[in-house]
Amino acid sequence: MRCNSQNFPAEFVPEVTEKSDCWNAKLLLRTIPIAVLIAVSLLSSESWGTEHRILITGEARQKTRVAVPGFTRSGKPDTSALTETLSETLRFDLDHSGFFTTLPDSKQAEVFIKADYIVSGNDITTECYVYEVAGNKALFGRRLSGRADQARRVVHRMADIIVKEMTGTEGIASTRIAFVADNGSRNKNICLVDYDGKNFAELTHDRTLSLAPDWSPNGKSIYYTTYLHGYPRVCAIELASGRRWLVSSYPGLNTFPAISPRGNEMALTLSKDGCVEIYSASLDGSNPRRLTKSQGGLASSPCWSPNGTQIAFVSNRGGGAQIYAMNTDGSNVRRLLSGFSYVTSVDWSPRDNKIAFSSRYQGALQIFVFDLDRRVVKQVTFDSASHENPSFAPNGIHIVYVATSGYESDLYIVDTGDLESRPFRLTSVKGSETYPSWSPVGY
Amino acid sequence: MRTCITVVGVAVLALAVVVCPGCKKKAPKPGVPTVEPVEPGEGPEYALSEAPPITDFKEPENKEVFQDVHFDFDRSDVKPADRPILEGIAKYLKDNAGIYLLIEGHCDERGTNEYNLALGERRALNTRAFLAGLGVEQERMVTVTYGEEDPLDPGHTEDAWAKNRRAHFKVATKSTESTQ
Amino acid sequence: MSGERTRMARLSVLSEGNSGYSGGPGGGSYSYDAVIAGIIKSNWVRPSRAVVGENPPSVSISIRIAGDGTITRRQITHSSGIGLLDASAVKAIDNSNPLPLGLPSYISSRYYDVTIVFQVTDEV
Repeated sequence: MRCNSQNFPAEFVPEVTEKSDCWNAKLLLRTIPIAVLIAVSLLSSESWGTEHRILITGEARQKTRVAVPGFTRSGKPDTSALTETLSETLRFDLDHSGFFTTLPDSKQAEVFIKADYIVSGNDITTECYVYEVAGNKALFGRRLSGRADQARRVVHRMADIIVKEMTGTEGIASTRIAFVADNGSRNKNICLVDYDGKNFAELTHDRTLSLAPDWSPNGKSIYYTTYLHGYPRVCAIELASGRRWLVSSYPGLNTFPAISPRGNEMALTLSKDGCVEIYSASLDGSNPRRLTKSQGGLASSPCWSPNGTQIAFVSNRGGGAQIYAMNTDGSNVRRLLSGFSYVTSVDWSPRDNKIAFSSRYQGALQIFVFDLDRRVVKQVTFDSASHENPSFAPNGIHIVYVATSGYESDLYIVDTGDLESRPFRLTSVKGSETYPSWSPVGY
Repeated sequence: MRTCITVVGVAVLALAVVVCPGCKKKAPKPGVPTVEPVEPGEGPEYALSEAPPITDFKEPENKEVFQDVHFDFDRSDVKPADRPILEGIAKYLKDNAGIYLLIEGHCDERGTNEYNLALGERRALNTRAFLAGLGVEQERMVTVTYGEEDPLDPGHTEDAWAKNRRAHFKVATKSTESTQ
Repeated sequence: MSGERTRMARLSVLSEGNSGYSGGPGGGSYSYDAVIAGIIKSNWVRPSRAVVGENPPSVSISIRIAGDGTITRRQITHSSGIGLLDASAVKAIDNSNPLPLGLPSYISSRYYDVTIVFQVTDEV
């Protein structure tokens, strides 16, 4: 093999594929420093481990590919509607967990799930085993029972267990979303729906305005604004019993209750002092303490940071609607964004230091997520509809929001970690749905 | 090294947003947040008192006095053009001591429902403050907001929106039974 | 090993660019390290976002490359602590074996020992 030292290219090109004995002097001089480096590093290592390192970085864009061939019944393949429902639910839950992409078979998958169920009397028992495709190694298995008429709920819980085991984070398959459904003039009710759009239920039937639902941290009660007595007041409803009680009924506006994650106080918007400001109060509405001073403007829509030390809110004190944050005693008020205008809704992630907000952008209202630690803003909605009122799922990844196009408002869910996938339309009932609020826990 | 790439990457993406509006790119980097000085409110704040039941309030018969006053988009300040209407209302209330006034705040359908609920109340309060400044006793005026939940004109045009950004008035007669 | 495969290796690196690669000696903008980094990265199926978290974990695998490009040894010298991530890196090495080019002439020994550090980054 010939050494083409005379026309050695300016760039160093790895050309040699066979060991060559031909060392040209010039070539040697050029390569001595590098060779010495390599020689030193090679000689200095006793074992064959080396100090010579190459760093490869990449984003974790891809989700774990999981094969879910479907449930068997008592160990046998089954084509009944129930089996189809269970398989569909499991696939949906994994696809919308934020961590998995489901496939019908294990050819391209990294893990696969063997799922079986039996029905005995009024009970259903599901059994799932998760295997690693390479090596066919069983990672774990679970058995879960429940009422047969709530079979979907059992599968949701199973999906959450799989997510927790595989990723260490809580799943959202058992969560629900509260929202307001429009039933006509001055007739809006608080409704509940499972996060997958099923199991719709109306919580209030008062033939008046019921607005702005907010969950208690334990997920057992919902606080909301009612016009049942004419003026907007905050009341609460306990989901299990249906018991309702009045929480805040000061003169003027009482609205947007936000319960602290610690569960011992709430922030809300009151106008009793002739202004529209945020107050903190006990959970029964007593001892209101004014937190904001908006210079003749308004402050509203309070939401808490996950550790309960900060409150973010919307205010137009500076002229246009913007979001601010403050300590829970009202001190240290600071504006969070610049470069965005008409920022009218905000929600703080329940898990990390991120806030979701809606802002006017290029002619439409879009939703963004602001990472407060890394000072980075990410856009998460993109079409020409009007997007607003974001609410984080407890995993801090999914967001439910209102999209208004054609003058009807519907709720959609977006996976902020996978913006390539289309947002999932949560509600398809006629009429408008607004004020979504994601439950903090499963049920 | 990675930090440099990150900063350059964000800057490049920010640039891409500007030149490429149809693309799925990142939004502009936010500026450094400013610390806002907190000062006492400038506008007059008249505390609200207990109100009569809202069902006591009816549409006023003399509509030419109690016309709606209107607001600009995302604004709650009373417009100078509406001053004559409010002066007329103030005069009527001063001449008729037995009347309570309900001021309803409304918004057009654009923008978040939540924000508009608060904005509607701000509009009602500003109107009330203006009337108080003209000499009407605060205790005779109550406010309620409906945000964008109860528009006057259900249309989706600039015209309809302008009509909906309003404060609307209703009246109740002070009677010895309303002691709430 | 033909010049054809070498050309293809160069092309893949050119399209990949040097993004996601750093470290190692080599002249100019076009070094052997960059070539094999590009090949291994293109074969690296990164695990899901779940494993990234707040502190990006990394796994180090030491490999020995023979003169003809065969990877004759590979060993995890620093585990990330996350099974799926370690496994994905090992798979990346295995799927890159044998490398489509031989050792460059500046490497005088019969084999090239190098540690590949696989670092998963959070989305920016």
